[in-house]
Amino acid sequence: MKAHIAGAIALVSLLAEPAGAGTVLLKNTWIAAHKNRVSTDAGCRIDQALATPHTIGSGGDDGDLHMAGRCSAVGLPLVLEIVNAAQFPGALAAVKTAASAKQLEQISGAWRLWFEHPPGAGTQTQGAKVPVPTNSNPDHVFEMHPLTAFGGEDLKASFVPIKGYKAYAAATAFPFYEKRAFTVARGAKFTTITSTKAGYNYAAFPLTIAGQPKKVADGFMVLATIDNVVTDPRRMVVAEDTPAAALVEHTAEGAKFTALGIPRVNLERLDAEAAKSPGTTVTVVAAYEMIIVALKPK
Amino acid sequence: MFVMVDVAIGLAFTYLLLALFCTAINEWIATVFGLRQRTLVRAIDRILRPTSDGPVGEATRQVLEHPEVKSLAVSARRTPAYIPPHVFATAAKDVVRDDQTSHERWQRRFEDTMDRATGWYKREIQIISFVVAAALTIAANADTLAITYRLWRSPMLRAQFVERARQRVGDRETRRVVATYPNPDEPVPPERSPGDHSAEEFEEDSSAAALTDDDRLLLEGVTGWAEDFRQFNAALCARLEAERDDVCGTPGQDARCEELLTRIAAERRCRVDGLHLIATGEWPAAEFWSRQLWFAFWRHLAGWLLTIAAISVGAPFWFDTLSQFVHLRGAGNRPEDTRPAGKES
Repeated sequence: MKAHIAGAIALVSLLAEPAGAGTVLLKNTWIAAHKNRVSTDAGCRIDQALATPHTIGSGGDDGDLHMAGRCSAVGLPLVLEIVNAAQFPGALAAVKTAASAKQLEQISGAWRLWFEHPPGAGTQTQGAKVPVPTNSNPDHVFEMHPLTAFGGEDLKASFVPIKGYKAYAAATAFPFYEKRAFTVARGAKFTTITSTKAGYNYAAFPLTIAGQPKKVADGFMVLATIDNVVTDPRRMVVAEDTPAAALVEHTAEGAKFTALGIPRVNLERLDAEAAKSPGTTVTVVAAYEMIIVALKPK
Repeated sequence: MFVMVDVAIGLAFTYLLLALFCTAINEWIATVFGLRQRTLVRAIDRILRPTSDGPVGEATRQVLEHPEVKSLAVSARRTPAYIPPHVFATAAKDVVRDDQTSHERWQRRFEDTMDRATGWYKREIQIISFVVAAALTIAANADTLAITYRLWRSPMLRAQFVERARQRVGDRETRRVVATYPNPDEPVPPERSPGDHSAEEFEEDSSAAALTDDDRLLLEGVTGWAEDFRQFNAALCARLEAERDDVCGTPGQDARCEELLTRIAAERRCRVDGLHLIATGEWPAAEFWSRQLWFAFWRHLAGWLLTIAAISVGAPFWFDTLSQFVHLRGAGNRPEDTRPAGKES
């Protein structure tokens, strides 16, 4: 009877929540190339773009400029976002031109796999034909966010605090990230990753560096704990030539910072776990890492 | 071949979970409304007053108040849900004061009537089951045709169902791992060969009857109203968009335009995307009672009926069916559990 009651409670909560799971098939070669990289570079056609950046407040009012496009090197429905976009009028003009001219633009930015707008029951397969987006926020699990360059516009200086923006507190966002479960299965050519809809885009959090930073091709990776919230080290991802990179490069274990960051799937961890059981399904909990948007010594 | 078997496993597993929930609700209804006790009282009344209908007779009341019967109840105010035949025979002989009928004969009469009463109870519970199954199916939008389509389309969903089904039928557990970095100085660890283990692992207990979070997530993948609600909300979003374009495009309507934009910003059923309003999967409120409801009803009716029929068959049937499908599939070999000692949590 106890079991039945537990089941009843579980299903009642199911009925209260709309469905929202997503599945993406990533090429194993892409994962191998990107799991220890901060960013990706691609020639993209911008199909839809907002005319102005989001207002700044809290939640989705984050000051980002959203656009949707198709990038052959990525091969997935995707959204691209410029952080602190209002401070970069040159980039805004370039986005507007690109969206109206539908021409290819060379774009770089932090890759971000996160199930914030999952496709529901359908599967998004890397390399399959990407439908032309009809709005700037189509169903997607892949983003380039934040962008580090758009066409000729360098956007690394946009990696600073978003003035006036109230990000999610660490105590709110991280317990959610920690509970995220990703189901992963590695096939011969593709790795299948499934998860439910995620949230809490921007988190402001205090961190303590837990190990030595490692220089990677396009930035730094360092493990850190989240003060008073997460005691196991989680990976922080820092894009090169950003203000945060200058701080991380010479930091050492025990250093304390406050950070603004956005979560993404930690492909390195998922791939490592999937590699242990090729062809079978593994559920990996807490496989996330934080893209550092801004960092300040504490 | 495997695709079809996997879809069948997914369907059977969905039915099993829904049937388990249905059983839990039935049990709750039977307990709250004292259905077993009511059936028992009715059966005793039939024995003691075979030719009368209507309210419970005095003799029945006295049997139920007999100390040996009363002592079987949970509390003094309640009727027991079950009475052993010999207890009934003792109470009946005391109440009726009939020396012609032997103790054994009272027992046999009780047993015969209870056989029939079991049938009455089953019929009653079947009707309740059907109503509960129908309510559950519609509330969860568990449309068999849509579930089949989703399973057919998504290899990952199928894989998840197969894996979970194997756990349910007593096969081995899926590995569930917490992602951690064992060496804080190696945020980018060197490539390792399969078989090396660094992460802390734990396996979850798969209880036989309860719906776990994993079950819930699986059901979320194949049931729900979000897609339909999007269609319900589309008309509202189109209306709001047209009204906004009309009002805000007319000179001198600034205050009204501002009020409208505020309303749109607060509207959870639509989200602003550039110049367009896009419908979300939120509860459509008043929009629910629109023509879309009829479209949804007819669109899902066949699938719902199939689901209701399936759930009504009961959880034991689907458990057996699931076991057969899982064994049929064989489900391939999985790697051995090579967790490092002392790493369990």
